[in-house]
Amino acid sequence: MVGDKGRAMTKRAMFLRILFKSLSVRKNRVFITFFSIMTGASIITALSCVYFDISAKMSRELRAYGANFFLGPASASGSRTLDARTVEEAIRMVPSEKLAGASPYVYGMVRLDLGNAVLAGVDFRGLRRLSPYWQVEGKWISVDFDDEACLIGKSLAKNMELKVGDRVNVIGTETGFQKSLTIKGVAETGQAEDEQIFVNLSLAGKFLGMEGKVNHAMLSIVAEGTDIDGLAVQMGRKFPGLEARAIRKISHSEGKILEKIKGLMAIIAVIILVITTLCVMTTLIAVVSERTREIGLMKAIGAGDRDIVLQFLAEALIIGMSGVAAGLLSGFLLAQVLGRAVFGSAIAFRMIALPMIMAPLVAASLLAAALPVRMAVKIVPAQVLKEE
Amino acid sequence: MFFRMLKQSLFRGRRRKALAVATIALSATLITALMNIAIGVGDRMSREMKSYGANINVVPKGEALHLEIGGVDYNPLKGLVFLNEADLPRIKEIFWHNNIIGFAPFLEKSVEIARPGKKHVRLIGTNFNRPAHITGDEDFRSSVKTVFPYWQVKGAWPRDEEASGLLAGAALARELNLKAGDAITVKPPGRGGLEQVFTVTGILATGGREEDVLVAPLHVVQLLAGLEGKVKSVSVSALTVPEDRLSRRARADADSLDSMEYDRWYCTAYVGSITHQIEEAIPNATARPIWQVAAGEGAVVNKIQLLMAVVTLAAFIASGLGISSLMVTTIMERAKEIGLMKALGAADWEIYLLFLSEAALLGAAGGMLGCVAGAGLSRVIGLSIFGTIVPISPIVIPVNIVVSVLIALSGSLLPSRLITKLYPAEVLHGRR
Amino acid sequence: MRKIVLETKGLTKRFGNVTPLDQIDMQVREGEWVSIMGPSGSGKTTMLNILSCLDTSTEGDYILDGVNTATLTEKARVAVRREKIGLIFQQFHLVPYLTALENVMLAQYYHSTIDKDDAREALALVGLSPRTSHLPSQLSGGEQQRVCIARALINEPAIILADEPTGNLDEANEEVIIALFKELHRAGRTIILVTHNPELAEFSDRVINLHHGRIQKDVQV
Repeated sequence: MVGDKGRAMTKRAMFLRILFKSLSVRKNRVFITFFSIMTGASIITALSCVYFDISAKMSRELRAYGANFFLGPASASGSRTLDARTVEEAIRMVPSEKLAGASPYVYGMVRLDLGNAVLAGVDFRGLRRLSPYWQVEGKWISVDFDDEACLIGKSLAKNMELKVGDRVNVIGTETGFQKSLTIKGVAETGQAEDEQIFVNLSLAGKFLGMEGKVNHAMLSIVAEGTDIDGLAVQMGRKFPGLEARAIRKISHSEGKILEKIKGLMAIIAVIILVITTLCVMTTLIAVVSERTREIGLMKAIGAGDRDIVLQFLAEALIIGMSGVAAGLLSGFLLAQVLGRAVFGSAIAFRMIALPMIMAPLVAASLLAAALPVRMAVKIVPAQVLKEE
Repeated sequence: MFFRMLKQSLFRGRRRKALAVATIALSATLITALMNIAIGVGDRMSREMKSYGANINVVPKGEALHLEIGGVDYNPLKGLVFLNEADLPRIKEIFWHNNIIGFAPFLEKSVEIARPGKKHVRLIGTNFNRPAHITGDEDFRSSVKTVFPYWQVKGAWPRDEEASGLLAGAALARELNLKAGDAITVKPPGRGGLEQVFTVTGILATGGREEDVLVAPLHVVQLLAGLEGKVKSVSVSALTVPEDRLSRRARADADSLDSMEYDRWYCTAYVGSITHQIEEAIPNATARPIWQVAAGEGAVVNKIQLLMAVVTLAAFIASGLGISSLMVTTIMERAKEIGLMKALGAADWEIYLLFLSEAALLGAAGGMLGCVAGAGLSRVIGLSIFGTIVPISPIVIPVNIVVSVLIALSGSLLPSRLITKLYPAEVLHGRR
Repeated sequence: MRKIVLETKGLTKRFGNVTPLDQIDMQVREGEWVSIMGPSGSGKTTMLNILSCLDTSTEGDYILDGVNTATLTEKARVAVRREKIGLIFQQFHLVPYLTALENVMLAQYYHSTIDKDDAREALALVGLSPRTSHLPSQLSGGEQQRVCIARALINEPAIILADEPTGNLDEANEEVIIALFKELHRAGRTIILVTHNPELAEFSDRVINLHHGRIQKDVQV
């Protein structure tokens, strides 16, 4: 009808109008359903985000256990030392974001006032990140060029009758190099370190006559997403005198614990999905039951099954999809809160998470709508319209 | 009369109510399972963390300085003090004996390999799987496998009762070209000394220093060293709780705690209080936490517990809200019924009572079903994920029922109130 | 002779042992106003359901405007309802959240195109022009029924089927509705009315009495 714009209204416009009015008239119910979906979707999203990132997070947490990678002279070379620069270069082969900490070590004998002791030269900054579990009374040495300070193991301190703040005279047994050092901290590990005295690498080199040399190095590498064994092979190939290997003790169990936690989270997410779907389905069924007469009327005046399905499915999906969308957003924010509270860092968003989360949510929405819509379609007008 | 009304009310819309009960039951199932797991598996999780190794080292008091670098021993005079092997079972007699998962003794001797090749190595003696004869715990074994689960053997572990088998470290085996089944001849270092032939039952891979040594049953090494009944150190694996302010204070100075604090510290499974108790049990011993393991565990276990707590809370909230909304809907659709009752003269409080009782009953029914299903679910989760049977904690049942009822009630409260406030006429004629 | 718009031959409905309708033969011509009367249980409701294609007969034919409905699929019957029948219920069923105008447009929506002006006209015809944007809850019983009548007419149906259209109305409103029906009759519409109110039946051309599912009498008024 050309020129009669005002009179004709498209079917779609009418459809939207009916939809809008239908939802507006039960605003409370719509809001409750929306909110319930949003909450369920939100928590599922949060759990899923954590699920996809937790391997990386836990891997970092597990670095609390210290070194999981060893660099030493190849046994075939017969040598007990390595070139310090070689070791440095090998350490640089590890991607910087995956290296939690590293330190070369050089050992030798020294004489203290009350007896002999093992001196260890280390990179203090790297050592602290490498071995965060050291219990240090006093302070760590924070700078590497501090040639006046040392750390001393607890048992050694006890035997030599030394404490934090004391000065101790150290003499290299082979070189005779002598220096007086201040004890900045007493360290306890429960292992061999308790009986050693620690200075920075260059100072140790002077004491031991081993400038530019180290005995071995320990590294702490984040396992998640890193091919540690591959790195070991690469290093061995590039530096033939070097033997690199993963320390089995630490890397053995990382995967197992993670799988269990992830498994648990997945089950919880699935159950919450089922619960939310059931709740929403029940709500929608209640809504349809309320409107049996309305539906019967529509069918009586000529609505076909398709019209009924269209309308009710659209109503359900509008609430459902907007609830899911809102839930995705708030879920992601919730995941950040979770991440900060538990791991002290933000949860990284993995792209794979999006389809993995949305697919079940959308499927669940459709499922929840399916039964109520079926009920609506099956309504027999004659039955619902004839009551007094 | 009330109960008759309640019964009638319950039977109306049975299918809808059944669905409501099912949903509540499902939520209760989740909560029950989670609670069972949190309570029962917390222990299990800690055991999982134990795969990193022993967290306590017991050595003789006054042990001389250990001066060994790269296989060279700088203080041969060391090692004159030992622990008695017979004292070891006392470790399982301390207050925290249930937290002691395992222990293994160690004794070392320097030896020389005569064939194949010539080499000075250390021979370490330990228990592989020896019954520890603990009264009250017949199955407990002294075993290096419990204490260092990451030890991997290609081949077979030696048997404690025999004296012919030992393990060769992987690096050593590579160097001497040894494999499982080969014979190896060992003698005391230096000239002369009796040669003994052993069979290498397996190759040991640990990624650590053990790969350069030989490992044999304890009594073999005791015999060789002339130190029968003695051990040099004991590695203990204990379940501990993470450090906190109290434990740190106790470590710095146990005397600084007043008697109440001391009791609390003693009765908490800190690694410090367990080492303290071991020192009390074994004469002339010093027990030290191996911080690499103890601190690491603490850090990780903390995180995991926190994560589980948060996730459980999230589950609670999600299901709670879902069910509340379900209750809201179920009530709102009975508006006409409520209007009718009011028109017939029912008082507000009577209506509340009816609907809230109904909600409470639904909640209780769902809660009980949930407890049963939850027990099943915890079993399934326990087995499939944690590889263990999760015990059902009895406290979970009442807590769950109460929570389910509370959730059902909280969902019903507001809408009951709203609808009851309407005038009957409005409700009956659909005007709102 | 005006053409036959509606014809039933041997129309029978059986539910197990019960036979609410038994061998109904009738013919309605274009422009006739037929009232169907009878006590409760006589089969009036069943008859109406079948005539309005809300139900199917067990036996016999029902030919409406040249189409034999007995052989139709469900979908086709819905189409017949849409195009050929205008339904008016005792309970004046309206969609509660749509205005009077929108309720009328709803019938257009299911049918073909929506034309607001036509809908307005239909409401004007029943005297509800000032009330087009009111919701059913804002209309009196009589007004609601009038909306139903407008809705029933909008798609130019072959017949108008009314089930106790004044049953829920007070006297004043009842009169308004009766007047409307008379108006429709004058305009040439074919009306089939089910009622147990003899006063209402008086205005029709024919009264068919049902008794125990059979036609007892069929008289001109």
